[in-house]
Amino acid sequence: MRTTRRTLIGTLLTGAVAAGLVCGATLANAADALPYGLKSGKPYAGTKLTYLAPVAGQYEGHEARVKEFTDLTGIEVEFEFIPFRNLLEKILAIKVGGDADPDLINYKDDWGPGLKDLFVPIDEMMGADEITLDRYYPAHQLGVTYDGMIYGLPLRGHAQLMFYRKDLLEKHGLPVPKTWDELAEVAKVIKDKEGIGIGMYYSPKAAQNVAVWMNILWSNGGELFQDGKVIFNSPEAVEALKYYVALENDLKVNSEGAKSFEQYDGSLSMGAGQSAFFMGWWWHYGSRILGKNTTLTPEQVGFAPLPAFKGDKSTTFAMSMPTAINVNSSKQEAAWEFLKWVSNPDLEKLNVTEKEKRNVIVALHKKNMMDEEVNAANQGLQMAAAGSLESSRIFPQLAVWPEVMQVLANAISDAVSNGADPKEALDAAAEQAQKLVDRG
Amino acid sequence: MRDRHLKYLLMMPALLLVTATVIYPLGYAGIISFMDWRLSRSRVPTDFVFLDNFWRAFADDPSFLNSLGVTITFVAGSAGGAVVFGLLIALLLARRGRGYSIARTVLVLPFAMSPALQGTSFRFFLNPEFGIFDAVLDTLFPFLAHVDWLGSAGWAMTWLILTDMWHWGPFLSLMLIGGLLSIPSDTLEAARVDGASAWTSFWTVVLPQLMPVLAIAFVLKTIFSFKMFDYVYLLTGGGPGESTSTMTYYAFRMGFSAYDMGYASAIAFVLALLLVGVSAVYFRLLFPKGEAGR
Repeated sequence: MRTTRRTLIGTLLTGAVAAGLVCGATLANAADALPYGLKSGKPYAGTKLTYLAPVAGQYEGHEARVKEFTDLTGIEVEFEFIPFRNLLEKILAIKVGGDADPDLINYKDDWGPGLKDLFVPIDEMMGADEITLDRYYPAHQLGVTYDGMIYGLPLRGHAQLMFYRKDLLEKHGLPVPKTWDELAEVAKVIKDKEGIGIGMYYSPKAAQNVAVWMNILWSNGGELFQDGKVIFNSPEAVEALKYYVALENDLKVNSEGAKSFEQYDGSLSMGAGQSAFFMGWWWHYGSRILGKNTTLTPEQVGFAPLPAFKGDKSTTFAMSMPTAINVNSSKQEAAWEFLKWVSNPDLEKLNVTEKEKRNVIVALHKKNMMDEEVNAANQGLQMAAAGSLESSRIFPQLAVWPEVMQVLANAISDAVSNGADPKEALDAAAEQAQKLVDRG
Repeated sequence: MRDRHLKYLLMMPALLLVTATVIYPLGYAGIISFMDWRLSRSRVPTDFVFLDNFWRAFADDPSFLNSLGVTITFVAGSAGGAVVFGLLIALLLARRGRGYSIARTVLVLPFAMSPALQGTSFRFFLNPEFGIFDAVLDTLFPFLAHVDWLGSAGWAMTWLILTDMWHWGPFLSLMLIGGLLSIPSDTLEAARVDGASAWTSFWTVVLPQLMPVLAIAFVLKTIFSFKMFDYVYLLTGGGPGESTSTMTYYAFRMGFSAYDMGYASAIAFVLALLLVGVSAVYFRLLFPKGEAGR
């Protein structure tokens, strides 16, 4: 085929125009592209979403900045806050009622298996927007995944740490304990010399004693379940409970009131200068241990991973609070837009660094946990928690876990407060739990 | 309109309200108690299981039987304690005068306070590190200095009862003051003329005449004690162990922690039947046959 000069010039010109158009469109799109994968063109403008969340600084920070989201998308969001203690009841009422409102629901990860048919699986939406769970630690990834499907994105999550009175350890030349035995020895010295011990807690209220015992159990090589069978009355589990009970009844290294304390009381005790140690969720550091109503300064308080029971490595327990889209909502696409925005790492970083507005310490994204600015604003807490989260585990993903946990909490409390034999208490609890598991 | 029809028409709004807020929920709970409704599986009741939930409660659930025992202990302690406490206050304040009137008005305050607020407050008051009750008790009774008030079965139940008595005692005293002031003064005068001591007058004159009011106060308090939830939830969480886990608290756990609404309804229904039975016995004692309509 012969190509004339005119044809060649025409072809080149056509090509140049076409290329220009494509480039122009791409540039225009780039200029219109919104951050965090939000859809451009405000396709859901005018939509009003409702969002149920517990009372916590984290969510208050989201609410304070939600105008940015509304400006970007035209979607309005109304936050409905409820005390955490009442959150599960509220969600169950929504489930029973088949309510379409609220469109988004924040929940605790171990409630997920029992609630999952209230939530929209978001795997496809995440895939379409190239969002993955890789940005979170494994424990937090597991916390939103049930039966291989993803049901939410974690917005709040906790690692467990041991908080200790740095000034008192230095004063008496004591090391930071790395094992439970070392902790007992160090706490004994502090208690003898200063009159304050470990801000431990054994109350079955809120079942937080289970988390402490589970840390000892895992570190002792024990497990809760195996192939659908309850095995938390194994020799390892009994040994873990005996040790946990001995801290209070035999070694007497705890502060006063531990039998009736829940985790909240333990951190309050440390913040009031009545305890030298506290083991629990890291959020207590920001408000209970160093809050404006406490007597301590950051220089007095150190933090470290939880002690190991055997060996030198502890396996701690982590939890998260994901936000999911209500399966009955008629605004699921708009809700997904909000979920993309509210879970973005930049927003999280703002939340944990703007200390003049509110003292939020909870971060979840790996990059924020290792971020220098974030750590500088929080005395390096995130970096310490990152170490804990690397090897953390979560509660078993069972629909009846909340009740199994309560049965365990009662057994632990019975052993420490009412003199029940640890083996017999765990045997009875295991029998009761197995019935619950079998019933499903 | 004839009077016969008018009376039903006038009663209609109240009947509709009671049907919507009491009879329907109670009936629905009754139906659910015979059904399998596990919220983790379905948002609506599924199968009719006849008496399975009730059988499970009595034959296969030690925690339920424990809650039954705990409830009876609490009812006996709190109903008896609150009535006696109320009677003591009433005997002190059943006099006429401005000061007594003010004191009686103040008595309404504990009853007017929200039980949730009281439960939370008492938990703080009893805190061994900074609780005011703990500090006062430690000062008055040094041998109790290291007691963890909510940390043992006996003390936790004692404080649960005392908290409830603090709430109810003053209110019951107002009922009893009314009863005391309505006792004809000539009966007391006659006893005094006969040389009866204050103690004898109380036992032989005052108490028999006060008995109907006392019985009503006791029935009322017993019914409310059976329904105790707030203080257990806020003060002890049912612990230590399950030593203060009442039936209402256990039903709540089964519904909102085990997601088993059918079983929770069965427990609640057992409690309702128990209340009906207790009320019937009390009223039988209160109004022997032939006196019911007096």
